[in-house]
Amino acid sequence: MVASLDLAALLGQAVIPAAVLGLAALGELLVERSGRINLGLEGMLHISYGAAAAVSIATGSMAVGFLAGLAAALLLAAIYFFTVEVLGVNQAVIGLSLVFLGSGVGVILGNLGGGAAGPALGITTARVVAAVLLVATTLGLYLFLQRSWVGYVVRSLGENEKAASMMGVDVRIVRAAMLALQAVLVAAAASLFLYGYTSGRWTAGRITGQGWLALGMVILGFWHPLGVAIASYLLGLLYSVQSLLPSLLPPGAVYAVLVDAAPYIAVIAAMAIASIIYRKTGHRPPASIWQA
Amino acid sequence: MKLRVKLVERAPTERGNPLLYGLAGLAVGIVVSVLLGGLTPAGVGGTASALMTVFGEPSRWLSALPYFTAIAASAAGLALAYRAGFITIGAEGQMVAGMIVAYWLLGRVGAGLAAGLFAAALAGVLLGALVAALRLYLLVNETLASLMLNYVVVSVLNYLVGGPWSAGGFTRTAPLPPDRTLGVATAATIVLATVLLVEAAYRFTRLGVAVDSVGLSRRAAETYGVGFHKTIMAAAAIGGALAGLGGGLYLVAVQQQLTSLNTFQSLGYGYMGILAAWLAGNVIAATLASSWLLGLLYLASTSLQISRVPWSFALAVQAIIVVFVVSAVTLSRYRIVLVRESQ
Repeated sequence: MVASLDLAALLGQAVIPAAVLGLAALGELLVERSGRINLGLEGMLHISYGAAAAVSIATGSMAVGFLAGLAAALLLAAIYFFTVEVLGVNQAVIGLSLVFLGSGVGVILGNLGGGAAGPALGITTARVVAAVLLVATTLGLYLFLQRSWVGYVVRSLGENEKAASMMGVDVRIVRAAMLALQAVLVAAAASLFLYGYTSGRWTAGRITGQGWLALGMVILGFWHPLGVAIASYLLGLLYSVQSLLPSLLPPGAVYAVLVDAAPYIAVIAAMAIASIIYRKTGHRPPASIWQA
Repeated sequence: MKLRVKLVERAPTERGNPLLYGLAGLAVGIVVSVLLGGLTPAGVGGTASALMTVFGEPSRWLSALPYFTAIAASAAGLALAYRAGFITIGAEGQMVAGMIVAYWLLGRVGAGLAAGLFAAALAGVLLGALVAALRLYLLVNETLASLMLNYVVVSVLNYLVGGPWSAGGFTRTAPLPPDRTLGVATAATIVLATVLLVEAAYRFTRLGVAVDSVGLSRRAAETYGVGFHKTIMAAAAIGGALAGLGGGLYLVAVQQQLTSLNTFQSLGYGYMGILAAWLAGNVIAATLASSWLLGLLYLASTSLQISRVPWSFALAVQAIIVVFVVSAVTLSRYRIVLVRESQ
């Protein structure tokens, strides 16, 4: 009985971290399905988290905070679009630069809040919001990508840009739209992290690693909305277990070092296993991802 | 009819001078960075003044030497890896691993400086090779794997300095014995010589052709007998060796003890090395200049920290400069034209 109660608590605890990761990963999924990879996702989360915190603390409004986070994420998306799509700069250079730009500016913006606590969601409300957002976005993206003509256009662009262009697809418009949608999902993830996970209080670097892990979730979820959501939920579960590990390990244990590193080691191992499975089953990522 | 701005690619003989375009990008990047300073407690004036002080007084340029040493060591190796199309961001973890191993040998085992620095480089090689092996044999994306290994290495460091290696109950180790340390100028000279050695290897040995051909076209490279696996492994190992050595040198010349790091900030120089590599257009010898520039920018930002400007301002400024310089250099290949289009 006790075990089942603990399990239920664990499953519930996993919802918010899973939704944060899942929303960010689903945004990246859209970009990768359209044939680009935005390594700047980590920076987008940082800047959105900092901007949402600064504005929500100043105004007392979560909605306005979300809009500020969205504006910040859109700014980085616009830089990515202009430099990569218009100028043709290498997407890895810009993506990595955006990581540093986003995390740097994110800290500057977050500091404007002065360490005060802003508005936040109650734990139950936050879990319900997180679950609804993750499920609705996953289903919405599944219907969009797998069952609509526009989604077909996006996927075809990710497979063969030239062919899609010859069929009349406006490559830039589609990619701009996917980047804008990514910004919306990133802002939702950052806001959920702020209002639901850190009780409205911004701390420098608290969101670190979420963007990178989200990039890993896209691979583990095999570029499919349902897969991405499942992978994110499993990692969310690991986060819940991770917070319990210190109480389970003897103090000073050598393997206590693994507590902090657990999600990263798990993702590396999972990516290695997934790669083997994908190779054996003949699956592969969208063909034009690394061509810019 | 509507007007549309279009970029038309110039013929190779009509292209602009990339150096001039890069310098223009640098100037615009610095202006934007100063404006960004308006969001910090230092304000636009304070930010401009800090930059002017650092860049305008040559006597201060040498103060950037500790940062240059660490940034240049990681940047040169990263440039080589990026030329091969191997997009690793693991220099940070390799530097920290180099520091851990060097400290263990120098501070706890009592080995000599040369052994400590050699082991630091070896630690970097092993981490670099691990990422390359994950990429080559298990098809794990090297960018993600290397980043995650960075976090793992920082966790190991924090465990050591907070536990078995802790001195006096603080999250730091005891300082290295004085005879196991080096001057900053000596450390910088070692980095300079090593980077030039790698540049020479790139220019005058098979390594350069192999790295460039694999980076441009794996298929073509393999057709002409260049081994893809071997080349990537070599680039990753050399990059790892440089970063690990940089970490060892930073330990013995600057920090002289290990302290805990947070996963967000970490040591930071390995990440700055990424920006320095791209800023140098992945030209190995040019990373010396770009690392110096980023070192000066970092120096300016540390002086701003007195005015409660967060350390991350340096990262933002460096990223802004890279975006502007790289974009400007790319722009040198295009002509901006206004085109009339009928609806």
